Amino acid sequence: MRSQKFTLKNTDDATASRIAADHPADWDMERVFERSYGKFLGAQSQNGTALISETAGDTLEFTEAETSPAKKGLRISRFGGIAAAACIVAEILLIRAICISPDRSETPDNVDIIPAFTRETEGTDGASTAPADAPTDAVTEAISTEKATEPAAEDMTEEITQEITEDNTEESPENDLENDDEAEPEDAPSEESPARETGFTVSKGTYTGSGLTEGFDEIRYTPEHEIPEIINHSCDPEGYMVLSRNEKSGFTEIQLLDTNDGSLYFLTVFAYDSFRTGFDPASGTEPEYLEIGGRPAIYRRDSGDDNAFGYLIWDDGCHVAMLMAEQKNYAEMISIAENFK
Amino acid sequence: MTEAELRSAVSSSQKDGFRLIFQQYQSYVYSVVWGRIRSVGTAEDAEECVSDVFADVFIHYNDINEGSLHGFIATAAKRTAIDRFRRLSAAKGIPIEDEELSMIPSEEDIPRDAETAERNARLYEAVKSLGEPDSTIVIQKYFYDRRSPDIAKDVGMTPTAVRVRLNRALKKLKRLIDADSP
Repeated sequence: MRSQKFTLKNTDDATASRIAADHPADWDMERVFERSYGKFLGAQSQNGTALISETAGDTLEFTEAETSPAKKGLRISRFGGIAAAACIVAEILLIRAICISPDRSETPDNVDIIPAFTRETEGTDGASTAPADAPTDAVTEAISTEKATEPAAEDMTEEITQEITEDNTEESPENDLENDDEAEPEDAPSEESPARETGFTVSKGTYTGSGLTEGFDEIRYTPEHEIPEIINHSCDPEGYMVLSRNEKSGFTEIQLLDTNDGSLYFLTVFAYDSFRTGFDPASGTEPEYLEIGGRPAIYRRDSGDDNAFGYLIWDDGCHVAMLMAEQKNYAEMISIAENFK
Repeated sequence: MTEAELRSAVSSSQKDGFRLIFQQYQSYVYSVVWGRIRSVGTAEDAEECVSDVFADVFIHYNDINEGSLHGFIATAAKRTAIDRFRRLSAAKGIPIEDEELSMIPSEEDIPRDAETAERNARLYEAVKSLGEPDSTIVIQKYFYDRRSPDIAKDVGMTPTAVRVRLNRALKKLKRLIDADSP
């Protein structure tokens, strides 16, 4: 029997137009808009005008005079400059909107300090620190120093073209469905604990911020130490120029320019007693756990793409610091973290 | 909204006005982009390309003549999509010349293309007959190349439920197509 290939992705233009009209692509477009707007702002910054920020009063001017000492070799490459700036802007806007949330006042004083990077078999800080609307049946994983590199539940490179052939009598076995059901994470009720757990935890599907809930996981970090004021925190790593430094309520934003290749980095320093960030486990890598200068750190990329955005979050000894850049600049991110004073 | 209204909005608040422009034209731009790159690109490529188009529009906004906004966006969308298509093709090792030549039908191709179009139309009719949310899930998965967790958020299901429905929908599709085959 002659086989006929049916495909949706590579359909003809007429059918594609019908499909697009019936099913317009209108999902998650706010994120795409923010990316566009970030690129626009990034392009503006390249013209020597005010640096990327709508709060212009808080930003420094980026002029040739200021950059002249480092002008030799200063190169704003497409990926190192515009894209990074754009992504950074988009991400920082996103983070401002959804990701950063201080958790205060709910941790008792008589805490049992649990060192970071110890593996826990159960128990969470969910009851004491999770938002009120977080699911109570969250599965919370304690973190170990071992790299958590388990593959995502769904193969991200899943073939997208489905062929249906007339002579294809092979059907997916029913137990595929059963396995699929079994693939759902088993719910494990979190137990209330008066202890103030420290270090990183990843809570599956618990992130609740700006309407993002189901499917988003949460990285939470609670340092062991008491939190000092952040105002005079210094950051001037060698080889980088501080383009802007914005003191916000409770945190500091510092934009760093790599004077060798023009790459931009966005460093945010928090004085919170814990902080959390949500991420979509379907579109990024599993968190990687590191030690930088003896301090706990976590690294994650937004996707498997080499140019994907990367987060590096670490405890600098007195604050939580988060650095964002492209994955290809991973080594530089580590270097900045190591030299962060 | 009219172009005058959009421009007025931009005058009041640049970002909010740009957002309105984006919202008004994003479906159009996405369809232009996806129509061009879908054979070689992914949904992420399309989103990146759409963001490039609008960044271009925002950057040149002050240079766009009154009454030309739609035309500028259409041109930017097509130009950016073609550029992205070429880059993606090159990255995949697809010779551009071959790709472009293949778009010019020969006499021999015409009957085959007609048969393909008819088959595609049958497939889409079958997909529509699945009903909601299954038709949306199938379209999102196999036309727009989206991941099950992303689809799940849109249709208010769990990713597992989406995968299960997808599996069943494909079996049903096969039955429908088999029954409809001449």
